[in-house]
Amino acid sequence: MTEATSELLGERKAASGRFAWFLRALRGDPMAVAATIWLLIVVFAILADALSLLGENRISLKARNLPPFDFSQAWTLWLGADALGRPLLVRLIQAASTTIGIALVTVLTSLVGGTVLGVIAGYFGGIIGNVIMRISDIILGFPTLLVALFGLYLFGPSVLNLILVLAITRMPAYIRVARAETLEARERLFVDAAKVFGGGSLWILRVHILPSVAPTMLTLASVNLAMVMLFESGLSYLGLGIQPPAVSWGLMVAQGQGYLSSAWWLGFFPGLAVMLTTMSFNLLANWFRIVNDPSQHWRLVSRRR
Amino acid sequence: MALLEIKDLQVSFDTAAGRILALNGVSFSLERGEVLALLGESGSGKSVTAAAIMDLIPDPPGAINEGTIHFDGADILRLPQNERRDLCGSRIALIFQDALAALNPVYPVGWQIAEMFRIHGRTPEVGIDKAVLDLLTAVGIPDPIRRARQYPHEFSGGMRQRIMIAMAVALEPDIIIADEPTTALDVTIQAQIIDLLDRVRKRSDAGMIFITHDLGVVAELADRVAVMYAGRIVETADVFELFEDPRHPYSNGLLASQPRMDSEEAELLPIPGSAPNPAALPSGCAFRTRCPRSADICAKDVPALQSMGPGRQVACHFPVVSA
Repeated sequence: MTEATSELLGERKAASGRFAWFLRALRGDPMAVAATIWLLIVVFAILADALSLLGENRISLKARNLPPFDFSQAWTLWLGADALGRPLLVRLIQAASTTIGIALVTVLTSLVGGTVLGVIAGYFGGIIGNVIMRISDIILGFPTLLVALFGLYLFGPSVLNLILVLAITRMPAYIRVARAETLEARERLFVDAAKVFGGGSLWILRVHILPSVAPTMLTLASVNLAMVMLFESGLSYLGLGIQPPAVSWGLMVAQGQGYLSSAWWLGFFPGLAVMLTTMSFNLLANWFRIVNDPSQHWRLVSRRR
Repeated sequence: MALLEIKDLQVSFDTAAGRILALNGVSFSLERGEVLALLGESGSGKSVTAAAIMDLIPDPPGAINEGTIHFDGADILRLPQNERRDLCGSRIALIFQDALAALNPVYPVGWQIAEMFRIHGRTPEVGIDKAVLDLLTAVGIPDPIRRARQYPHEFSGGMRQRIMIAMAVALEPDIIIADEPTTALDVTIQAQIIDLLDRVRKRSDAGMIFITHDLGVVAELADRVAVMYAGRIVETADVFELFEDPRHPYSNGLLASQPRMDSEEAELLPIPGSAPNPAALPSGCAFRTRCPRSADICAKDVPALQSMGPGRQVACHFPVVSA
């Protein structure tokens, strides 16, 4: 009895059961499967780099701008080499951790901060809400890149500063969306019902408002991931982002730009990596939204679709 | 003192057309175990009365300007916020008309009923699951273990209303307010739900305020009726007395406009005109423009609610006296 009833409240589901449930839902969406595979490859790349499993990454003037798909060379050179003869595949793998790390931390920071501030502004309104909204208006009033440039110039280019500057300049978008969604959710009858049943503000925010706001915020975050990677590359290009010899995909695109007519692969492969990664996050965010919507979930597990 | 006693309640809303009075001096009382029907047309203030009791008046634009709501001896309008909130759900419960909208679509219904216990935190966590299953059984949901795990959209309208009722009675409240709980349901389901409401109410000997515009439901369930018109109560009476012998011309008109099985008269007599615009109520008695008995004094003085016999109050200068 206890076994059956503890599951009935849908909370204390065993972790393994929860995982199997996600796996079954994943099978229903081939695009999400492809996205997962790509992200797993990226994770393996980051792990390989962290464990120093990679081979040579030395400058080699013999391999300058070596074109890709020359399978007579060592495997590290299969994607070609850059202007200093460093193998592009190894550089790509090394850049993965920086790029993904910065983008994820930045997006998570602005997602969490923006959602909390936006929900507060939307639910309570009043003076606090106004202050939050006016400050985010001010940030929105300046071009993102200009604020970021100024901030990095003032505080010096470092990974932490880069993350902070990007997170803060992107946050107003999250605040606005979270506020709008909260204003809508607040008016729904089940929020009134929760009040009638004696729920306090914190309870209502946590149990009823946040789950209604979350799907939109996740979608916004997945879209923003690409934007953050591009901003990071722009700042790196201007010399205020990632500092060589560290490398990121954005920086590689920027460096490859000068060789576009003679060595297209320098910009193409890191660009492809950015595109595949952001697309994967978008697809998975969409899948995640459907999985967690009880009235849509059947689409992923039903045989007849 | 009565379990619930409302005195001179005045609720206003600021609109583009100016300040309108949704309730204008509403007074009534409810005893333990009693069923009071609030009867009236749309816009007469029935639901606003419920909202005022449950602290659901949106402020702004709404405001409770005057009056008191005494529950169990204390004026709940003057209680601290946290004490007031604690009453809601545990001692006074509300059943909404639209159960689908009142249930959160992202949680299983069993979880939402358990929410009632968790919010008030008086039931030990280990007992909650069993309490939820008992409630589901009590409101007539078959196969409660399986159903508890399902989401609101997987239930029919009648079943959802049963879930709402289960939530409302979970903590055995002293007062259940039902805001047109059967209006959106099939007639066959209506009878079942009314029957169920009456049964769960008797379990804890709760008082009930039943808001409706359906005279049939009133006759079936209520002990006493308060007829509302344009934000005022125009007549309160025992349910049999009201049906036999309505005194206010509006109550009289309401009954005359309903088909009756036990009457020889074939013709229905509608009330002429329509409910007044709340932003521009007629002077004096709000019903006078539609009233067959209105005279000059009706435009000047608002008739006060006056006692006419035991348990009976009428607000009219020229009450109907049956032959």
